[in-house]
Amino acid sequence: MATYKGIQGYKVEYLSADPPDSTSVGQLWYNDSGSGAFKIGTSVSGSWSAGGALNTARSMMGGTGSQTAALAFFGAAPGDPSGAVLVSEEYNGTAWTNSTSGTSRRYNGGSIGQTSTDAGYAGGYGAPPPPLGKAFTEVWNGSSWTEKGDLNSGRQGFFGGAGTTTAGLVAGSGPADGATETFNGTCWTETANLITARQYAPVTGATQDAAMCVGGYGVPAASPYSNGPGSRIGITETWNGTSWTHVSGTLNLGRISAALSGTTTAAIIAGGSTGDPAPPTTTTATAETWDGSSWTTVGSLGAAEEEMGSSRTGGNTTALSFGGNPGGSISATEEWTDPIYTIKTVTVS
Amino acid sequence: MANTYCTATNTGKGFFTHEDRQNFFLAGHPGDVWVVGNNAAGISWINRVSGTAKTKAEAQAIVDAEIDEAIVAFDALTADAQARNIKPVKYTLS
Repeated sequence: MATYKGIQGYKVEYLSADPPDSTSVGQLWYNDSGSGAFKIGTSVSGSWSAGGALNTARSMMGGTGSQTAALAFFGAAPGDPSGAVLVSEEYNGTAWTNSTSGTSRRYNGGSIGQTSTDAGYAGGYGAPPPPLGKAFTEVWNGSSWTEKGDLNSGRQGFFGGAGTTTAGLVAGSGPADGATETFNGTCWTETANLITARQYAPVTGATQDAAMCVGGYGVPAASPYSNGPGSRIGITETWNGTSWTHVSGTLNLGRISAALSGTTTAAIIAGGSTGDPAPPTTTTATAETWDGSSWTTVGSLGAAEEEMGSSRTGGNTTALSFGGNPGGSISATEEWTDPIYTIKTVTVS
Repeated sequence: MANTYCTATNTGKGFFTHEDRQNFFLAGHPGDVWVVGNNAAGISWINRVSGTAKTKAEAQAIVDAEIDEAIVAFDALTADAQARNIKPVKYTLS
């Protein structure tokens, strides 16, 4: 009988246990000489899968952390007298668990922090009476929320933020005046504005000195990026700690109110409200990854959503999108993983 | 027919997996409506999640009703609240 070595000139390696998925790609091996089966490691492009559902359906919330250790906080929820919720929830990669509540009901605030034990929520819409745009800041240390210094002006329409609770940044909010503020753990300081003022523009970044702002709307008609009133844009600006810079990479689909996770060199954006180049708007399921210079369309969410919360870390390889609004606040979570490693069994007999 | 239709409640982790996403088209819509690629893997998924098969017209009617309800809710908002929300728009399922 011909043998594999006789045909190919090589022996197939015996392994008592499968190697880690990520190091097995392209490898061929067997575990059990009696099974007549080889195994091969493969990888395919990333996709979104279903994660555990939030305990409280909500939209326009804050979010930090990773795909396996995330925090959701504040946000809008129908049925609540003020339209906003206080309870935080922690995710362990499988399920959300209710945690300690904050003290000021708000949604559409800016969220800073990188982990599930270091988070901050600044500004956002609050309960009446007007002005509805609040300036409050609350910081989470892993067990409780503590009030800190206010933003310099009441603002709302944030999606995300950058840095930590001792060196954070928020931008891309309403009113669409381009305001950027940095946080030192105690108080906020106004700094250089976005070049193209806009609101509902997702922001992410690992540090206070390395952030990005993507998409948004409310761009003045005189701007070369405006496609008409209400249009969703796709421009990207990066922040170096001193100033914002327009970069050439533009979203393939302009959007607002999307889930953005990652850093200035590796990020993913998903869902949101589109209307590019002009309204009417629709909610999208599409997603795009950022490699530091350009956006590439990748696998879509399982369901079109906008106004979701998102994880912060994981670059463009792992991320979470949770909650959101497809006509009412929802509780669904989706998990992004890229690539998908799979060990397949090849039967040879 | 490229797609088939069902209603199913998203039960969380494992409801649809990365493997599912590789094996068939899947898109969720309001009203727990799912548009599913019409192949063996898609049909198997509908059975796995105890989905209820719908015709395209039935699925579209469920989505339309959900969006109608959301439009009514939007129209009932104050002008200020409307300004910071997005009016739902009807669309046609693929």
